[in-house]
Amino acid sequence: MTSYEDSNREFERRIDSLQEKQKGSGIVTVPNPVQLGSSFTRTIGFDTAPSSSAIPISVPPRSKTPSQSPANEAVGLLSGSAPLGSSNKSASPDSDNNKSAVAKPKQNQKQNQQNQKQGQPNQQNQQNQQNQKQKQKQEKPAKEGESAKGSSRPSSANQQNQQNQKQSQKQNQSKPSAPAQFDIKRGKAEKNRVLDLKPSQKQVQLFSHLPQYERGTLKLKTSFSASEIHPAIVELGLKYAEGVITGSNARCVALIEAFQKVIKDFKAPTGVFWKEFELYSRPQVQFLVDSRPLAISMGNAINYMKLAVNATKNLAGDQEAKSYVVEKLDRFLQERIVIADDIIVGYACEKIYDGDVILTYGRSYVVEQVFLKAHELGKKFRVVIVDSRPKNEGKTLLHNLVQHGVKCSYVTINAISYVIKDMSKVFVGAYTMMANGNLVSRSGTGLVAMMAHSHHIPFIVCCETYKFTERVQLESFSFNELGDPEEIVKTDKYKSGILENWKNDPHLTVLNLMYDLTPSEFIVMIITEVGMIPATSIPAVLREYRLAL
Amino acid sequence: HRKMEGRIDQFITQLKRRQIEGSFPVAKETADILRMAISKMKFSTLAELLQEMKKIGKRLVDANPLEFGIGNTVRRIMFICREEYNNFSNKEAAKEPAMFLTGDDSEEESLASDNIREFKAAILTSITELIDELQNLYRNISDQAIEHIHTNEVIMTFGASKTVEEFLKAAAKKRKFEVVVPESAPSLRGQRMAQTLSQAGIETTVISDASIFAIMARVNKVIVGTHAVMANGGLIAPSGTHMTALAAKHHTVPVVVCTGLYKLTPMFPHDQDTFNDLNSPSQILNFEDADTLEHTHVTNPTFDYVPPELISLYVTNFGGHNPSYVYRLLSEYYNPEDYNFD
Repeated sequence: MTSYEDSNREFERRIDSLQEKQKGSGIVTVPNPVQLGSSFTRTIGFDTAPSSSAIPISVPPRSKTPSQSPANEAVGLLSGSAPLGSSNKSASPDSDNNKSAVAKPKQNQKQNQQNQKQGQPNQQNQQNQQNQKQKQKQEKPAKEGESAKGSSRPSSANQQNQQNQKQSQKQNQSKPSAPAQFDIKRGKAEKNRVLDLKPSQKQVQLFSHLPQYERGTLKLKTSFSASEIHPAIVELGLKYAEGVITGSNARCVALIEAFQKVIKDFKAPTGVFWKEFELYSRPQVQFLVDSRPLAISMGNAINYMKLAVNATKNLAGDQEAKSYVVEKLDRFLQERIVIADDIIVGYACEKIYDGDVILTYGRSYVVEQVFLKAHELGKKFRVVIVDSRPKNEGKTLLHNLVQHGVKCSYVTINAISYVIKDMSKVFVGAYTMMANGNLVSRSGTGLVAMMAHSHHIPFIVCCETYKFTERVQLESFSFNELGDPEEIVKTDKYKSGILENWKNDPHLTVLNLMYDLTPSEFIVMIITEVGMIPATSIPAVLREYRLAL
Repeated sequence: HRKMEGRIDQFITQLKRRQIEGSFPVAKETADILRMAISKMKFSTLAELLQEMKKIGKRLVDANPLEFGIGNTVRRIMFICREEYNNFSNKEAAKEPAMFLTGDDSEEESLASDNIREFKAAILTSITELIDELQNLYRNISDQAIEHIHTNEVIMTFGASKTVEEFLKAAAKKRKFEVVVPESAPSLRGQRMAQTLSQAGIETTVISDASIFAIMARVNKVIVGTHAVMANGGLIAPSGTHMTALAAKHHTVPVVVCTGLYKLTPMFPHDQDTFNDLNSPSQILNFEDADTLEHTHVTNPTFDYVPPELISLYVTNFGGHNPSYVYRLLSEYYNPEDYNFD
């Protein structure tokens, strides 16, 4: 059983307990977050002791130089603040605080601009409703470390005092900004790196704009001590690096749980929670980035957490602030992931008819749930699982489905042209959906989509809305992740492959792409928790369902 | 006679056990066997000769029906026999174009005994020429390599074809280019191909099959080999070639097939199943999992049928051809009466 499945069941229990508690008092307290599979601890490089809640956290004084937490680098661009439209949602008494919290004191150059530029229009909306004192307080820290480039917030904030509605309407549209590329900010990134990573000897030239590092033991850089990184984060990073936790949803869920632990254990030295936690969280996130580049779903979750942290500015006392953030993270998890999955499963089951032969590729958690639920409902169908090297994730799906009695077949991707003509429909999961309707998913999905399209078989994607990103992309090169080339070279657990000496061969490179882009014309329908939408509706969904507290 | 029988039996056993695989070695062996058979055969009419050859051909083809090289070579030699016969007997019939399928009564005419010796000699010379053609196959194809590959190209290949390997090596002597090789699981032939290419000094990148669609956006040409070329211009090629060709079509990348014309088969496939072989699931799933997975179907096809619309060019030992022209080549190598060995 995967850690995600463990977590999922824990969730469902916690949701129930949360719901019960909500019926009682107005304040929600969060029960102890689940210990993330301590049976999985692997000690590589250094110990990963199961986290205990009594670890004193020391935050070393940081210089005031604007150092960018590359947490933002691979982060989805869903804006942190709520547009006018969603202010209806936050009918809670926290709404005012939410809106005040949006201005971020953290400064820097290129990377944060993306968030700032998008945050700005909406921040300005919300500042409409604030009292001016709060606004001025924010402007001061805003001005302090602000870079000269592009951040016109102080001036626009002044304008804000004068105009109200006009600006808010204009600023509802987010300005497009390019996410920072790994190779552009390499110099800065090196300074911020937590793990000591060596660039791999054999880089694939075509992908030299993406991080390619030697795999092996994870070592902290000498300037960092192990106590600075919370053990839950260390555990998480190791699990990511080793591939113990894979899959967009699982990684995000594990991330949220780990950060809940971190927040619970955090003691702000000066007593101001939101300021200190801001600084404290940067190396934590950086550690995760160094272990394995962040998924877009994880980036969105981190953005949400930052939103919540900023919203605690007006809360008196650390305890309250912490429990507020932990509760908000719980809500995010519950609403945007767990319940969203249930809704998606419900919609998708409507689309499965008796006698269907359904093709799927790799292993998506949501698609697996769809099949299990449809089988529970008594539908008569069979599943064909297409799998590929090096990950062979389909095998896990095969075992899980067979255990529950679903009729399955299993093929490798080279056989797809042989099996495709018998298929009724294709279901796949997603890593993210781009704003222009293109799907980014496990490498190989593009081939499956193309085959389905050429044989006129519907290709259906199951994706929660929190995975959507405002990024756009046309091919699989500009943004991708390179996996470990040894996975391709290793053909058998016991024997060594033909290419085992590939590193010594000056003319041979091995490329292990993790994701690929499926053009939107191959996608027939996307099943999300907000409905079954065509690929062209993604920008509309992005606009209406921005991440908001 | 016994020696010949022994040789035929040995060949059949090797075919059945898949000890001899691949169109080229199979075609050579067939040609050798037939040459030996003809030189020892006693016949008086052309019809008898053809009958004998059909019998041998049927035995060999039945050992492995998917090795089209056997049938093609037999048919080719039968065509040679007919041609030589026509030349030899100086009939007007020699002037008739091969498109007329009228039964030729002249086959039944007996030849004089020393005529037969000369006839045999002529056939054996032609067969030796055929074997020579097979030997020089790679050179003839590779000579065309620099016409098709320019500098700084990114070429994708699929599977491990000796023809393509020689083709690329010949081009690499004159031009600098890169090759991307998908590993073609589960046989992993692609990895072997990548190793040979990189050892020849060609910049090679190995990718997983799944990344073919992603990488295709940067590929300039797809050059593949094939197991057989069918009469409609389609291919019977290693499993995975179809998805490569389709991805190439989506990105408008030309697909070039390097093949010798001995692979040209006078048969028509219509879907993936017509000429295919399913391999053991053990290549894909472990036997350790057999308990839990006993009801799981595993499909592991050997070949793909690639329709002719997906192919841009055939580079053969007799020049370059369009897929739509392939049917005409059939008439230059085979006689329609020989298509069926029964």
